[in-house]
Amino acid sequence: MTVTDMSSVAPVVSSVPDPFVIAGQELSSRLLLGTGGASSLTTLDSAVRASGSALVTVAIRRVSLTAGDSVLAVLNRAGVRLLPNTAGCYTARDAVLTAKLAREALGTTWVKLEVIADDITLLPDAVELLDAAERLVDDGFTVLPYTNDDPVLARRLADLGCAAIMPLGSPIGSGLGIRNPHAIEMICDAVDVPVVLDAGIGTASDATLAMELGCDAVLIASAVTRAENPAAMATAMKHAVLAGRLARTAGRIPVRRFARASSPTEAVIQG
Amino acid sequence: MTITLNGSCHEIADGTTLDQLVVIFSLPERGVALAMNSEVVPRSVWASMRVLPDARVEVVTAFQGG
Repeated sequence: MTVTDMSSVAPVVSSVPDPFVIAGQELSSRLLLGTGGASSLTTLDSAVRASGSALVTVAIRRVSLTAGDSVLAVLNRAGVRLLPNTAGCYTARDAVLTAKLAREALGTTWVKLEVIADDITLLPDAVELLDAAERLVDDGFTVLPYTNDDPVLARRLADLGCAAIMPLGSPIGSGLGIRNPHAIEMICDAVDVPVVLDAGIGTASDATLAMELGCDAVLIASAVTRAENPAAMATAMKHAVLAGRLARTAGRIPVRRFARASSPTEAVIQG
Repeated sequence: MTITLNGSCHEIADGTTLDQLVVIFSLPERGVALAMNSEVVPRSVWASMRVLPDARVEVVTAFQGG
């Protein structure tokens, strides 16, 4: 008898074509990793590698004159694609300028568009977000907006030409998981572009649930970078995303009100 | 003349170009972008563009985030 170990998970997945594509670019992982919150670049490096992620976010900030080894050097060595964000922007104007600076600095037209309303909730400002998304799409950017768990807003963003929709599960860094699973399901139904659950993931089961609900991918930062062991949590998230995707596509059993025996109901001994 | 570089005021010589500014302040050569008065200035024109008096110059790069 052959013993099946965890290493067989990846080949099983790859034997069934299931490409994850954003804006015509195939990505080798459905786990996107945020780099914020890691205690050191060494920790970040091990987490990125353990996650298997192919697309990793960075923030754009003023150059520090005392900077040492940069996050760019670490991520370039890891061979991942960069997804600059507009974190910290409260207006469409600032977000558009930040995206343009990111394009110039990093040589990518991809941007994770964040326009937040306040620094307590970090919730997206829908009005500013739509304005910024339209301006950036018109300027040729591949826009991945961080958005509320609102199916109507998601559809508006997709209609503007956004390359993916990234609804929150709960507030950034909260670890509260997916507070409105029904809304996330409706967003998956409402748009034809990939849906990436972004923000709120606390642990592996949250990432699996996102995939089971129909999301195409998950973006995780704090849950990995601020875990006690970021590399171990990154590994857990990698498997969680694979498990959720497989479960989603495998065709789960319907939920029943009462039991349905799994052993034969005939030829039972009569004691 | 006075300019504001990344939020701090500095005195620089009149006629200083953007590529000279990068050298004067020992800014990184790669992975950075520059905006003057809220307009991104492509690297290709740094050598020919002078810093304007009272300009607000921002020089940014990638940090951990998101």
